[in-house]
Amino acid sequence: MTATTTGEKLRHRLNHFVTLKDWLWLSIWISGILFIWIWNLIFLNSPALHQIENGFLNTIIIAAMVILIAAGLGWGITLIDDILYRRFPRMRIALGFLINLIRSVPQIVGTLLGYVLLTLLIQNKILTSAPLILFSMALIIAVFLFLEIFDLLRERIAHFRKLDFYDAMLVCGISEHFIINREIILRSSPMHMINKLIGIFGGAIFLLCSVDFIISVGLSTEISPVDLPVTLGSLLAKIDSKQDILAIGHSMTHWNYMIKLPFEHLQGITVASLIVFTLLCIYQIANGYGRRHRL
Amino acid sequence: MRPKIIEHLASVIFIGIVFLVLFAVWGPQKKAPSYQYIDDIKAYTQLGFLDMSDPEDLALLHETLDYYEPDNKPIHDSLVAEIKSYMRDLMLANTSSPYLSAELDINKLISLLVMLFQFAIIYILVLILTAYGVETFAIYRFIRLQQSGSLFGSIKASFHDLITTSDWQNKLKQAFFIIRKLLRGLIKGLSMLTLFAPAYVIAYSFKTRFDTDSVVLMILLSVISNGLLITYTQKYFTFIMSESRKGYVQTAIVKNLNRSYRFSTDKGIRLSSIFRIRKRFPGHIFGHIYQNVRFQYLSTLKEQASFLITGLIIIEMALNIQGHLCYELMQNILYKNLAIVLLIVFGIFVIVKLTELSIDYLIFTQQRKIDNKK
Amino acid sequence: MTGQRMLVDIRHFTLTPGKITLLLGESGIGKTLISRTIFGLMPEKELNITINEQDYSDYLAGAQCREIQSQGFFVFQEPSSHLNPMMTLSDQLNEGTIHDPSSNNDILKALFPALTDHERHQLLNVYPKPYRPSGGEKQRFLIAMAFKKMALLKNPDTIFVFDEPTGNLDNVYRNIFLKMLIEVHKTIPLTVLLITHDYSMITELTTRHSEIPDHIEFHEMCVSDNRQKQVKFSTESYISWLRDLQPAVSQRKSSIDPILRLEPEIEVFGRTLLITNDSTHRSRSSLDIFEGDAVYLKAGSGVGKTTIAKIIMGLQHATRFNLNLKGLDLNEKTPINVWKNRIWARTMSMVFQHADEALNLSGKVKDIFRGLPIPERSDRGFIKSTLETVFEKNLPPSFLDMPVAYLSGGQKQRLNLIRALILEPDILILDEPFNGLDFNTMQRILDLLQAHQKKGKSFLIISHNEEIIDRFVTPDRIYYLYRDRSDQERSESP
Repeated sequence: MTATTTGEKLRHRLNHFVTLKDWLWLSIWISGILFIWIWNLIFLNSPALHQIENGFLNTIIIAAMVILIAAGLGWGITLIDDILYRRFPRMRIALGFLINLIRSVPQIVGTLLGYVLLTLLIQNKILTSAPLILFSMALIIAVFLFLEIFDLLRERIAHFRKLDFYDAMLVCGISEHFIINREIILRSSPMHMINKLIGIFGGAIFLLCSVDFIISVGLSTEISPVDLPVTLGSLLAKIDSKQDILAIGHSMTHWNYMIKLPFEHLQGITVASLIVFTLLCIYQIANGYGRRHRL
Repeated sequence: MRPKIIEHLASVIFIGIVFLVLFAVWGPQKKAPSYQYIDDIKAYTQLGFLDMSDPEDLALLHETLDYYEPDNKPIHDSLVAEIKSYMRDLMLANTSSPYLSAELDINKLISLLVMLFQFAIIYILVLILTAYGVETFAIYRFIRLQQSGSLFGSIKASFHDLITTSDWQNKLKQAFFIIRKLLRGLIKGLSMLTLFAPAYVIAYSFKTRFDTDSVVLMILLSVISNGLLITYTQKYFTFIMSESRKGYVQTAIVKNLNRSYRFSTDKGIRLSSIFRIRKRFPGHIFGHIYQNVRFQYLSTLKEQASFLITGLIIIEMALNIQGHLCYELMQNILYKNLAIVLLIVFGIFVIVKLTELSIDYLIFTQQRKIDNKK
Repeated sequence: MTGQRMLVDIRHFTLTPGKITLLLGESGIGKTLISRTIFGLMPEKELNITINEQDYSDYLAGAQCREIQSQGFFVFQEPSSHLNPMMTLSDQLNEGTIHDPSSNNDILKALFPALTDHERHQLLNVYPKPYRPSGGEKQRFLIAMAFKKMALLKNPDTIFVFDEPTGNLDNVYRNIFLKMLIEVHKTIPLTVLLITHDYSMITELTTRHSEIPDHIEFHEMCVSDNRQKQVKFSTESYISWLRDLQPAVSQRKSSIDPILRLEPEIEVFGRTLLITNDSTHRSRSSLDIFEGDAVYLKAGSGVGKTTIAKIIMGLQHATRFNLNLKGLDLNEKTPINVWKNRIWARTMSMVFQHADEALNLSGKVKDIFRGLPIPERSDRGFIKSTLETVFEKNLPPSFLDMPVAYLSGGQKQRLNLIRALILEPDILILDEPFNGLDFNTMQRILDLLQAHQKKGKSFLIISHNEEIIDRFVTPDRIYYLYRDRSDQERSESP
């Protein structure tokens, strides 16, 4: 009897867990990464595995820093925008103009130019420590992604201002600072922010890998990948990885070759898989989170 | 609309001025590199027993100098660094790259304009295709969800029936349904992986099979990769879900508009309506939803266009597609032809601005109508 | 029921066939949920619903539900969100089973008597926006759809539901609607469910329509033992309570100056609004509020009562106005900091109409008091005792930790009120303070307001519950707001 009850409880919990799409996909992602790591541990040579580990960790660390910087920048600029709205409307136009300029620059172009600047700083020995370089890479990417947080918070504040919400608190003596930061942002918008930040995490990985790939492929004599920390994008651009990827195309017409892919072309397949799998999982996590909270 | 036009124009003028200033500061001409120890460099490169392009020989020279003149180590470090730069510049000069001493003359300007025009055409084509794709897939997904719920839910239900039923014919039927649904799931999963893969991953997978320089492949890659289609389909779908819960849909229901989502000609939705370019759903509650979503999505189209341009740039750069604008941009960054870099970036910026202006105009005309100002 | 909590649990709910059931009760108690369930409008996948011991999906597929949907109609509460902003009103009035335009004219003439044919035609070609047509006009359009359906009815064995159909209407249009409904009912004895918390409808129905016992039943929904219950409502008890309601005795002496004086002419949004205490609108007078006073500001729907309240509170910019508040002169040039530093929460405060908008639904009950300029804002004991003045005695401590979103509409409105009352400002502006409250709670709130009044606090009330507020204030404390006639003529001239 007890076993059935436990089994029923377990089944109920499992059923419930499956409906939590964001947690489900987070588990799938972590499990997938672990599986890939264990597979590589068994079948890939040690130096290549070490490179992949470094590349993956650097990519995740940079993306994590991007979301922190983007959240801080987005929130800060929103507060400045709100103060200008209330007190200096003309200056707000200027801020809006600058924001729109950043918005109009394609993210990849902006990031690329940022990387050129970063390399100059490295070459001139202004930036030397690895954590600082990682942070700078994150900052460059965050500058082009923080606008999503800014737009979200500005829209949330405008939404509540239109309702009686804002005025009702003002006339009860609650300060504007409290209304915006505590009531609107912290209390009424944390789920919206988290949802956006998950999306930004994925966007950061995409941009980072793309830029590093481009730099490694096209700008290798000037912006030397040796100067910048290794990421999944720069790993993918290496000759070995490219050849491994080419093997995928070959196996489309030579089906028996497919069995060899996860053994003989492991480095490139692993890097490509990590990028695609991570992007897909983050997308699903963001969707699941948004759907669960009806955002 | 006037404030928007002024804002866009002001942005273009502002960036133009900034770029002009940068152009004036860095100048169009490249100075020839100067070396502090040029005489010594030339002397060392002429030594018959040492090859200055060989890192081993260069290291040997460095150690020898430090051994015999230990007090001059910093000078030796600078000398060796300069020798390296000199040998590299020599090598680049010998490769006779067209980018090495590129100047911004009239021929170059014309060729850049042609590339910009080509880029713009591809961009517009991809924008139209993805806008259609996003709308169509999102609507299809919504309607399929209304018809049968989630794939996982239906697999679960079939599995439950398989276990509980005792009739073997029914068991076989359920097993067949499960296999069919799992296959559908697998295809869906593989499609998602493809749609999410960065363009360079897909392109390099098939580099030996297809000519990656072809415009058709570029357009195809731009549409199906980088997660563009799937991300914006999801956004459009989210709009549809949100609108479907609104009050006016309830009013449409009580007015007895069709609410069945089956693919039928009678009470439901025609499958052909979903795939038409000009979609219409007369007499159906979805018509109300669609009208609102289509208008609301217009501002997200700007974001989609921006993401699309990013994808196009990545494709041209990562695949080294010669004769294309972004490859040109990358090469000129490499060879520090800043005037050309600034011009290309400005050209891309203008394309983005024109897109924003067009979408703002579309929004403006629609908004005027529904604001009762027309 | 959702996966987390029970929303409505009612064992017995009846509608007498062929009668109009007026269903009263506190907002958020479940009246709308039940009516939508019966009409088949609830999302079956998102909620766990059982009706007549039948799974909801079976009920939806059944003949009864299909008949109700096919022949009946549902007029929804919030007219703004129930009209498609991308379609003209004309297109929306003529689609689906009400596509026949032949009955439009008579119905629209009855519901829009002040408009000429040309003006009605112009209005029909408008896309519904937040401010045009007005909330009342939108509501009348939805009502027009219902009457069109009635005109096209083939089988009276169905249900028509009107959910708060008079929420945005002033008394004139409310009475027009009731008259139309009863006239139709005399010829076609439909089953109608009319949900409202406008108790003043009772007086209108019992006095003007003496034949109503044949047509109308009065019910109320209340909560007992965590279950909803439908009980008969005694109109006599309401009418006798109303008759016994007396204004609080004013403490003021005639020579004392008012603590607030608003000059009678206010210019805003390109119009001139005038104030008078003359019901015939022949003269103008400044709006004066004395210490311990209760003042009632009346006006038709859409004239600008809430706008005036916001101007007084410094929340709405006016082109021209003059206000004296305890010796402080305020006008259109006064900077907002004056209100912020000297007036809000000290001299004056305001309770807004919609508690759902005025409160933070993401917070808990105790969070409503955070940020208030009172030292006890975090003291649970103080908060609990304050809440007990508007809720029941011996509130469980867990109530303070309840999410505001889980409260009923009436509970939210009480919370909305108490947040402002706790500040004890000299003047409190109340915009529709009885929105969503049931009869018992209304009485309690009125007692509370009278208690504050006796302590020398003053109120400016805006409400469409005319018959109640007319008895709550003395006749000389009633003011009228109206548009300057020359303004109206200017706007109407070609």
